This record gives sequence, structure tokens and C-alpha cells, in this order.
Amino acid sequence: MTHIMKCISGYSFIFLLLGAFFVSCSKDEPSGKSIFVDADEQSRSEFDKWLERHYIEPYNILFEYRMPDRQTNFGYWVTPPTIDKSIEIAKLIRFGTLDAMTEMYANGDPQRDPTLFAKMYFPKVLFMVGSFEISNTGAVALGSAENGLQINILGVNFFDRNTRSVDIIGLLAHEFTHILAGTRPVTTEFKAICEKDYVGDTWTSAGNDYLQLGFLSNYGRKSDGEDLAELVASYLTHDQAWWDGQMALAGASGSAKLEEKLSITMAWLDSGFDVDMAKWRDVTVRRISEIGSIDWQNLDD
Amino acid sequence: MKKIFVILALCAALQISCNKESFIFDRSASERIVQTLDDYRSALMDGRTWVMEYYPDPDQSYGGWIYIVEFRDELTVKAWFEGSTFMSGSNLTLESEYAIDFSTGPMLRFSTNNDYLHYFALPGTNGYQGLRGDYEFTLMSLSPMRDRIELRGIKTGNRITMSPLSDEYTPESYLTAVRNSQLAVNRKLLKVIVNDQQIGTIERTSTAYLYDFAEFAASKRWTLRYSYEQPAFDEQGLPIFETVEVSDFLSVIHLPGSVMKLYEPYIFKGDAAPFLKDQTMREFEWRLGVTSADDSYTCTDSFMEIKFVP
Repeated sequence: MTHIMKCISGYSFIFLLLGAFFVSCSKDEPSGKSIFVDADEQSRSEFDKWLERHYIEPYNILFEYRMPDRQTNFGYWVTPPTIDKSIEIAKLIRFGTLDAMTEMYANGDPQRDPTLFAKMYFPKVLFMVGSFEISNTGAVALGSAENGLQINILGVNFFDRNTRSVDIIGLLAHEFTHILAGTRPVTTEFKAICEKDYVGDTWTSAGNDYLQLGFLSNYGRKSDGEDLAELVASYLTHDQAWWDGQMALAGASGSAKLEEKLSITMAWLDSGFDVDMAKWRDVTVRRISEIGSIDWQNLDD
Repeated sequence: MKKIFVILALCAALQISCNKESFIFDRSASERIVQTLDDYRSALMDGRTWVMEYYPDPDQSYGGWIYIVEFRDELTVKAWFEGSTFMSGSNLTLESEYAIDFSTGPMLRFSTNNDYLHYFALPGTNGYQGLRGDYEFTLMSLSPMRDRIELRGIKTGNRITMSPLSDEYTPESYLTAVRNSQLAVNRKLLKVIVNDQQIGTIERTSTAYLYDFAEFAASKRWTLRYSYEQPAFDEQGLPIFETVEVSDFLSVIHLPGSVMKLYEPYIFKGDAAPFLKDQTMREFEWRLGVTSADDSYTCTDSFMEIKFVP
């Protein structure tokens, strides 16, 4: 025994033994069959197949219309959307937002993937809620963005394609701007232009002089983040004549501030995301004028 | 030599740890979840048309309501509602989608809008929280005969039950019978009689008016009042009897056959009648007497003889 112990030191012997045991323990090989069974297997409707073709395949976006209530804000009581209204909203967002971004981003270069901008930055979940979120003060929320991953569209059951289509495209642009700003912040010069006129939650009781102060809506006075989102959404959904009209109403001081903020925003989108904001606006406005051509019911395309 | 013993002891310990691999269940957790969901799915499809006894609001303030739900296929559910009488509009969505899936447990969700099934959850005219009704439920249990499913509302925590619709009824005729059970009783105030002794009253603010939600709901809320004596001590520390006044809210649901059922068994708090303390009552049947003054709600599940009489 003394002889053996001389040949193999105590520690080597221990490691040898441990090694042997590890070999024996690693005999537990997987059978090849996963323990995870797809528990979410559910019949797919024609609408699901349409969403697969127009949202998942090109953009990798989940259009969630079977609203799991547990994923909504539990501070509110909300209800799910109807399928008919969900289809209309899906058609509208595809035409007026996602495909508009793709058309805008295409520059003729075959090496450039025109869907890249939407794929990279647009949130991966669009979450439909049938009712609005109403707070105990009676404030009604129309939409919200969550952590850059999800945009919630509220009040889907009250959607009227003849009167609210532009609102929805604007809402998407507004919430998407929050997500872009979260990815690459806009320069601090933007905030400095109207800094003293941001009023937080008291925007609801602010006067009607927002244009003269350099804002496109009273809601923009809530914070620089909302100001930016309001500016992008309003700009993208209106033509140049509308902008010129707003500048005339804003007066010298207000229009100077708005033009300066627009200039900073255009530069931010260009340098941060390689996006031509004026072209994006032209595409969006043209598509808004063509909304009547959408086939709202057909799911065969 | 000491070292050898240490090594052998280590080996023995390792051997024990390696041999500990034993399984309590014969299938993986995931497989068991899928099996559970399949059990509920097949039970719903086998029963096909179910009577749902539904309570909105965490305090059950609006009483209980009957839904009939027909699970048409793996995706679609059609609903009938006791309260359809006060809902207007010709283009109501009554057929929608449902899902059985797994979150913290097996769940039943009414996943796309249904004007009946989401009536109590819709915010707006009924307040910013609507009427606080659930449309997502944890599936708590399935009876061995697969003829009763117990659910729990995700937000309210209310207990909801489902049982298959009897062959003698269509969804419409069942709801008509439910409404008739309520229309048969046009009293707002009844005396509470226990073993032929009046102990108190039971009162509501409205009878069942089918065409107005507020009045219909008010007819399903009763206030039970009674009093009893209990031992206490006065200011000098002498033993006395003090009177305790009870005023308790009862939330009820109605079933065919003039049956009224409380959300949960009511437990009497004191001896308003001999041996009444801790006795329970839950289900009542409206029985006609020789004259209308003899009509009564008679309790059918209590050891005591309990009646509510005009």
C-alpha cells in the first residue's frame, strides 16, 4: 500500500476517482425527444395565415389580437377586440405604416434590404385591445408603447376606417418615435428650444397657444419626448401645405422654434437611422390618400 | 491510511448522490400540462353546451348571471346571456374565439370580443372599470364524471361553475326558465322564519325588471337582517346579554324551477333561533301556498326549517 501511495500521490488518486464518477454520471444521455410539447397548439384561422404572410414572414412582427388580459395593465379593465375590426386594423397598419416604411427605405440599391428599417426598429408585438383604457380621472388612453418591444392599440372595437385611419397611422408613428428615441436619443438641443414651456401632466389645462409657443399640440407640451413624438407623427401624416399652414398660424416665434425642431429631428433620423424624413412623409401621405383602395375583407392576398 | 478512508468515504458519498435519480411522475411536467389542457378541451367539446353560473365584481355586488356557452369547435364559442333582455343593438357579436392555455395553471379565455361574454368587463358607460367582470379563468377542477367544471376569475377571484345543459332545454328555453324563476317572485321584503319563528327580514331594492341592468342586478342583491343575544360584561364587570344586530349582503343567482341560490353558503352568526349559530343555508325554492300570503322561499339544503315568507 505504501508502494502504491508512492507512485500515485493522494490528490492524483482523488482526481482519478472523481473523473471516473463523472463518467458514470454523464451516462444520462437525452433520448432525442424534447420534453417540451407545444402547449399552445391551436387551430389557425384564415386571418392567422394572412398575418403569417404579411407580418411574420416579412417583418417578424406578432399581431396579437387574441388579447391575453394578463398581458394588459391590471390597473385597467379592458376587453378584447372583435376579429373584424382586428382585420381592418391589420390591413391599415400594413398598408399605411409597415409597407410605407419599406417603400421609403428602398433606394434602388439591390444590396439594401428595404424592410431592414422596420425589421430592426419596429416593435415585435402589436397588441390589440378592444376597449379604451379609462383611468379613474376619466382620461382615455388611445395607445401606448412598452419598453420598445410592444405597441398597444386601444379602442380597436370603436375603429371606424372612414374617420380614424389617419389617427391610427399617426398613433403608430407617435409610439414608434418613442421607441426610436429610446434606441438613439435625439440631441439635447431639441429639448432646449422649448424647455421652459414643458408643463408635465398639467398639459390638459394648458391654453390654446401651443402653436405660438412652438408645439404642434397641447399634448406635446407634456415633455420633450412627447413633443418629439407629436412632431414626427403630425409631420408624417400631413402634406407640405398643412405644415405651411401651421407655420403661418404659429407666427414668427412659434414657427422658428418648430422649424428648428423639425430640422434637428430630420438630422437625427438621417444620421441615426439612415432615414429620409421628407421622403417618409411623402410616401405616407400618398398612401393615406390611397386608403380607399384597401380591400378590407379579403384574406386571400 | 487515514487518507484512504477519506477517499473511500468520498466515493461512497458520490455513489449515493449518483444513485438519487428517481422520478415521482412518469411523465415530464410539460407532458402533464399538455395532458391537463387536453382533458379540459375534450370535456368542453364532449359537453358542448354548458350552463355557466357567473359572478362579476370581487364583492359579487351585481348578483349572479347565467350564460349558456356552446363550444362549437377548437376555436369558436357561441354565447347566450340571461341579461340579453337589457342589451340593445342588432349587430351584437355573440360568436367569438376562446382558448384553453396555460399560464399559472390551465386557463379558459374568451379571447376575442363577444358582446355578451365581455359585457361586465367593458369600461365606459358602466364606469371606468366597467362592472369588473372576468373573461379569463383558471380551470380549478373537472369532476370525475366530466359534468362539472369549477373556474376562478383571474381578476375577481370569484368562483364560477359550468355544467352541461340538460337535454330538456335549448339555450333559449333555459334562459326563459331562469327569467321566469325571478318574475315569479315580486316581493322586495320577506320575513325570515326559522322553525316557525321569525328572526328577521330579507330585503332588496328592486324586483326583477328584465329590461334595465341596474334594476335587474338590484333584484339579485338581498340584505339579510336579524339579531341575537350573546353573553358579555357590563361596565361593572357583571355578566349580561347584549343584542347583536346583523345586516349581511347576500348575492344570489336564479335557476329554472324557481330556484334561488346564494353565491356561497350563509353561516348564521348567532342563536337568533335555538341552535341556529353556525347553521348554513344556500339554496331556496319558491313554493306556492294556498294563498299568495302562504308562498315562500323554502331552504332545501339546511338542517333547520328556514323560509322567507311575505
